[in-house]
Amino acid sequence: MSRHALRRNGERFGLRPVADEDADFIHGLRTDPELSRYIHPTPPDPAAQRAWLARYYERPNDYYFCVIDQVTAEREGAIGLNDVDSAASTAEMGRWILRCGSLAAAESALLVYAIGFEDLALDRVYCRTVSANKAVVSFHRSCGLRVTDEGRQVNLAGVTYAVTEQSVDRANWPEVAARLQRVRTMAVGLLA
Amino acid sequence: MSAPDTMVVGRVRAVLGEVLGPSAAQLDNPSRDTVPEWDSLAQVEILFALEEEFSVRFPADKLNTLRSLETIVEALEHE
Repeated sequence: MSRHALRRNGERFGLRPVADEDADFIHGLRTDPELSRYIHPTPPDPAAQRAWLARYYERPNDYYFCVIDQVTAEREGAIGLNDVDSAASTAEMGRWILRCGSLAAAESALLVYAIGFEDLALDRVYCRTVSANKAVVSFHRSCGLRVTDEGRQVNLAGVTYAVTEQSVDRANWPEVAARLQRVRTMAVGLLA
Repeated sequence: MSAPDTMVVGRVRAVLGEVLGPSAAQLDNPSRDTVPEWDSLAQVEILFALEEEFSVRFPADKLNTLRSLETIVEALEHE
């Protein structure tokens, strides 16, 4: 089952809708201690991920994708556009998680922004990251995203963290796309 | 091949230290293979930090050479 039909293919990696058969893979990533430090806790039972997907399929403002290596056909991770607000023309780029060592970061971000701006005709896509997750905050900054809010907090497993919101809007999307395309070229070259 | 410019090496080392942490920058030849923190996210930061530091724009065919201190210095010396 899948909730939407949006997909994008890049130079090396692609996005396709998340489906039931991805549940165990995503659960494995989200319960990996290395990868899950700054995300909402995931129940240890993989059935919970399947139940979460069943609820996700019913939400109209939520687009969740599996990141695929088009050469190996292996799954690299997941990424989404959630809380799509048609009135405000915004969405959050979230639920981004990639296997350790994956080089799909730039291309998966590029493709999901392309879906946001070109397929969904959004005006702004924002990313909310735990500020202590410096690698991801720095990645977004390097790609040209602008800080749009630093006043939020999130509670993860009983610990409160500051959150940095960074955005790409229709005006700076071409600049961000150009930067991500260069990084994507670099990543694809490293895989060659 | 001529000896690398020690000033360039020092500036690249400083960029790597800023992104990857001081212990990585102290290695003889820090690289993607020897520094666990040098992942695909850090690679992005290193690329744009180097371009800012040296006021250069690496051509597309050079981007995948940015994988160690030595290869970065070599790429910069050919700019």
